Amino acid sequence: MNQMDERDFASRAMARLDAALPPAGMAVRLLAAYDAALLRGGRLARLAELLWPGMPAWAPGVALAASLLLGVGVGAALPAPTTERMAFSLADPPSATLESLLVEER
Amino acid sequence: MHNPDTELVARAGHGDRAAAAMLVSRHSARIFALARRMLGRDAEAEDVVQDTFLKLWTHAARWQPGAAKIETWLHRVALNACYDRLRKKRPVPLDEALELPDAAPGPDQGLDAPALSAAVAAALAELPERQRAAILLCHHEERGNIEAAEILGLSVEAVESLLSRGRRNLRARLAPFRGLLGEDE
Repeated sequence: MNQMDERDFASRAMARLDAALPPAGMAVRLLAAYDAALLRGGRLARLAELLWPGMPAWAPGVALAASLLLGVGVGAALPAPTTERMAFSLADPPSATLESLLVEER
Repeated sequence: MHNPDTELVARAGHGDRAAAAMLVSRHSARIFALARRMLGRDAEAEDVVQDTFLKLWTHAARWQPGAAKIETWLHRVALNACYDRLRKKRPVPLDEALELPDAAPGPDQGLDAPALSAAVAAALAELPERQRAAILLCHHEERGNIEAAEILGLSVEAVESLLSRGRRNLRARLAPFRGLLGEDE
């Protein structure tokens, strides 16, 4: 069998397939998804307009992400506060006096 | 050449529900049929159509008029969704997977039309997924090789090779039905 015959055979076979009709209500469900997507998009756009009036919706998002990155970067670069107790503190005076230490040395 | 879909997508992206309804009416049935034949089940095929159109709704406002044809893009997204599902799918018995009646030919091959249709669907389902997609696009939807190549994300030569192997495999699987499909044995 040559290529042309195989092509015709495939076309004849495909012509025998049933119609595969979409289920009832599919179009309605697709449009409901459209409404939901539109609503979500609308909410985001309103929030963006509130944050940064007159700019496209992505601009506030980018500004927010950039400030977050900057904050995290600075936070990571700064030295962590030490948890060790300082040697001298007014809130926590030393228990030993200078005299008692001198006596101990002797 | 002016393509009405481009304008419909732009309008749908700006909240025109009638344009969205028009896009659904123009494309959803064909996308469903393709997904149904790729996956074998109505419910899964509808999920693919939902995913495909959801992507369209999310991209509609940013759609570039010079980009791919909407129809080509929809088919490509739908086929990729089908491939994802086929890869995740656990192997199930073919008759269960396809929800088909028994299509085994009798001694006289006296099949009625629905049984022959089921036999063709079963033979198609046994093809490797890319061969199946190529056969469906070119022999069922009657698209040209160039458009099929765009949809499949392959070169035209690769599509021709897929078609050639697909046709040969299909013919071998439908060997018992050749007489009924108009071929002299």
